[in-house]
Amino acid sequence: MTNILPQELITEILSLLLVKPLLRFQCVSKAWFVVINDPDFIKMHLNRSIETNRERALIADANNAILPQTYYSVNFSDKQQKYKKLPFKPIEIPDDYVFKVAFGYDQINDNYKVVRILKPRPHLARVAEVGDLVYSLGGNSWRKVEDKWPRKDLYLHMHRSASLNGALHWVADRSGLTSAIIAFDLSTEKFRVHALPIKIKSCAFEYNTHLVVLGGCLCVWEANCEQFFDVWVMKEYGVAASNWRRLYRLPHSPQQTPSYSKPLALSNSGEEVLMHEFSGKLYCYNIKKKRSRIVEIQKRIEKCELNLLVVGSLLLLDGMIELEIG
Amino acid sequence: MSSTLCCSFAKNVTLRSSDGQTFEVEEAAAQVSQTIKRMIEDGCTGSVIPVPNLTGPVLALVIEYFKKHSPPSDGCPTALLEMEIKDWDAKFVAVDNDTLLDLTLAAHYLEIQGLLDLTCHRVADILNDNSVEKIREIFHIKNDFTPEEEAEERSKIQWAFE
Repeated sequence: MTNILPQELITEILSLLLVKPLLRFQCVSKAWFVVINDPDFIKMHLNRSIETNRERALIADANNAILPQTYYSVNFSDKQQKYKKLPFKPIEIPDDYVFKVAFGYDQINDNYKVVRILKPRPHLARVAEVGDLVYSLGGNSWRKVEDKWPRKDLYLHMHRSASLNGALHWVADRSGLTSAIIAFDLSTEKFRVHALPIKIKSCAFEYNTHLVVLGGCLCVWEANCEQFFDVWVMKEYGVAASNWRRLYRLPHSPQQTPSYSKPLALSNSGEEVLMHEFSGKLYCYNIKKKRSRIVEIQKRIEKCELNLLVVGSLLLLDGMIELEIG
Repeated sequence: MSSTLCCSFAKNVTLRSSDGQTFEVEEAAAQVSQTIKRMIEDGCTGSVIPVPNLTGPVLALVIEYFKKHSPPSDGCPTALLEMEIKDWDAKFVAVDNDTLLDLTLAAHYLEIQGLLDLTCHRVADILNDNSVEKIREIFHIKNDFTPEEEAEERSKIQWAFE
């Protein structure tokens, strides 16, 4: 047999590869270069990575994924270290206001967007007047969000946002209690409010409430109860509180590890959670067996620095500028 | 009358490779291939089924796969049996690169989804661990970049080669 594989088989096999070898194999031939850079192939590869839970990398980065002051956005691909410098557009920041930046992928319009949200400093005000700016990487411009802030009595935490289903999500407080999630739909550019199953005493510290995507579902980690740490999962994506189920509960005990641990990822079987303990250790916790084991990694992740689980992909930002990252 | 008799007893089919070798195999086993299944359903079993895209040695391997993967006569496969088949599969594709590509093509022509998944994953594993030069060798691909073009592409993604 001549064993020259037809193009469809080559494409199928290439979609099974990891990002790094794929980038290398662009140099195999012009035909391979075309396949690997084809937008449909890139999407197929990303979907496969999400489905199979591959290409996951943990980013422990003190510099934050997006630097609000300098407007860099990081590409999803974990080790690429490619940044794009966004055009600077000063916005008027009233005294005692801060702004936070979030980054997500608009699946419908196939575009990355950066959202800037202004909020009053938490110790000063209880009502957020929000001036929002959306930057679309496809459109290469900043503009003001037309939609109004959904509820005057809700204000944002400065915690990291979670990106899921083409929307950015933040936990929001009302009268000192974390009581809802505010979502910003990246395609329609409208806000909506998701109810939470519980009310959590508010705290500016990220280790108090934590929003994370586990196994394709939005999860909230509640850590201020006296006796337990609960992790809730939004089983069906929707705005009602009834969509939530408790995924697991850990006793709050200094003797027992892991206790004060932030969930980072769910295994394919849905039985094990990768957790980052406050001390810096990583644990794998089996929900059914209620047992945990330490996960060894090369470099210890310090304290509660920003840990982000990302999916590597071939998606590149438009007009990429490469920078040396120290 | 004769055709009814023939069908009730004809549990075997004969497959003929591109180089004229013939193989007898149980009809149920051969139907692991969707292509052969359709041919049997269309009544092509009277004589020999030609498999013009496969040489004798490759067809012999594919028939081994048929036999291992034919539906069990006594109902559902057990977990133990599934484990055994998985081990067998792993050994089955631990072959030299040319044979592996022949098997991939055979699975594609004969529409054997299980074998296609198995071989594609095996090829992908091999690719993940190999250099650009080695990939060209395995796939018999001619490098159509000029040395300057290739050097330029490589320099853009230098980190991927580290």
